[in-house]
Amino acid sequence: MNGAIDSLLTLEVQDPTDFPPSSETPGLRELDDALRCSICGELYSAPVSLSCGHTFCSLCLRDNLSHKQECPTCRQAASESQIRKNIMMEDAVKAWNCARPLVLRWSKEEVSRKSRSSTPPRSSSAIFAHRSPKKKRKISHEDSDSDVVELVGSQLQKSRMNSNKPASATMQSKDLVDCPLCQKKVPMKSINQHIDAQCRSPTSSTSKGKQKSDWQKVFNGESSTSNRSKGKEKARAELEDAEPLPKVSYSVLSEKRIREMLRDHNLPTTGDKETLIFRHSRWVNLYNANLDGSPELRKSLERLRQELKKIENSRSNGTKSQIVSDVNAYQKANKTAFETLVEAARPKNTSNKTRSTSVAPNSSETEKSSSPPVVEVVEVLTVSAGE
Amino acid sequence: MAAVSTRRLQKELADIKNHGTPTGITLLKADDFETWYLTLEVLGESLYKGEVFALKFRFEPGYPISSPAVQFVVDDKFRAPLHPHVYSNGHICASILGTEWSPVLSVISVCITLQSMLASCKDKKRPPDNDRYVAHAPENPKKTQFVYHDDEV
Repeated sequence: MNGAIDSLLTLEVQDPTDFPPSSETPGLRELDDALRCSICGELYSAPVSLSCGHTFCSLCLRDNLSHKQECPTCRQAASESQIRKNIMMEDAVKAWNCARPLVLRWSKEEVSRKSRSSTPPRSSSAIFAHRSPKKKRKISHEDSDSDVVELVGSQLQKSRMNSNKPASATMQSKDLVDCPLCQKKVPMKSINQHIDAQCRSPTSSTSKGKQKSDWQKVFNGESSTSNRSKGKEKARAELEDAEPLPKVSYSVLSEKRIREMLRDHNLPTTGDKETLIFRHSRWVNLYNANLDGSPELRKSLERLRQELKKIENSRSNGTKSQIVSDVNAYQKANKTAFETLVEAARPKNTSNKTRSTSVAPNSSETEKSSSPPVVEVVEVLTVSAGE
Repeated sequence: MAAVSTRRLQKELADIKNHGTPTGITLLKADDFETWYLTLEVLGESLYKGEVFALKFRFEPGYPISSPAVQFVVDDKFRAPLHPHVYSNGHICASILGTEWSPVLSVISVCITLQSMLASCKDKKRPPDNDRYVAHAPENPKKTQFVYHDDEV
């Protein structure tokens, strides 16, 4: 059973239990837990508070309030109008985001230092907590040289920095974090050196890309960051003075009106009324939650549209039984089922021709498409094509 | 990034793995992020002493905003407990699984609630409308509109 659980946990998920238990490092798990939304379990993104004082991610709370108008924690009556940004919490989360990998590493080193003299480290939890195999190897290596604690520790840091060098050239944006002091994007792993060096780039990371931008800085001091942030700035500007979208009571609106509202936000207008309402209400939540974040952390509208698409996909995966990827294979596999259904539908078909053609507009192509399963396939396909 | 429900369930699973489960509750099977099975046992003095039950959790993509579908497993190995709020098909009439669900609740907290529901039971019997309900019950207990009337047990 444990093996199955491990395979489910391969995706990287941060959790307070990454830290050693409070008997080893008091307060760390609790600290990590305190900065997490109790709905999604992630570090707060755009934290907001209700009048009862409980704090959640804006999107989590807004989604839940459209479900039920009460505080998820204390069940006090709540509404969207009570939502207030929690700016200080956002700052705290931002700082913790930077500090977390470092503190995590220190806490591990502390635990293994403590346990080295007495018992071997509790391997199961140690292995479980260290996600990357590279890290694991190094820690165990460190464990074996018990005499040279400090030296090995600093060597370890250095070698890790070196090993980062080639990676930093291809650093993905998610490894980059905003420096809390200068707001520059800095690789998560070298954020500490960056701050220690008073926000100058750490000397170790003189990869080609870095050099280039450094040179750019030298040549035209002002526009050093322009290339990277121009697009972002534009996206920011369109959100800077944006107003939150009002809530809509969909039941009094026509389907056409909802389509129009979706079109106003450049959103797809396909699907039945229920889908349209789902799409628009989620969009309002995504949009307003995005505005609850501090301006430099906000996402572009395009990004929000992508997220909405993802949410809708996971919803349709849940409700629709399956998505047919290969139509021909599916038709072949279910040929007999189709034929019996066609057979069953025939007498109705002749007596009530006009109705059946209106159900399946492409019935001229194949007689089969008047049978329900094929219609379903067609419908499912348009859904997946529209994604 | 995986869906919110998957990430949230991964966290719960990591927590179970690192922290362990409370006494009387064990994780039986969790092969995916759609259906989990846990066993439930009431320890100490109670009407259910020595009985082990299994709970089936089914999660929607909307979890944790939408509640999980929770029921007792009824098969050749497990029975549903004899309790005024548990139907013989395993369906449970408990408000926290329906209207009183809150996204801050988790798989483990639901188990603990059900454990204490069993522990505080004073009279082992089926709900009064058991036969009528079981005859027409939908497969998924979430499709039932339970009327929560009894805060005592």
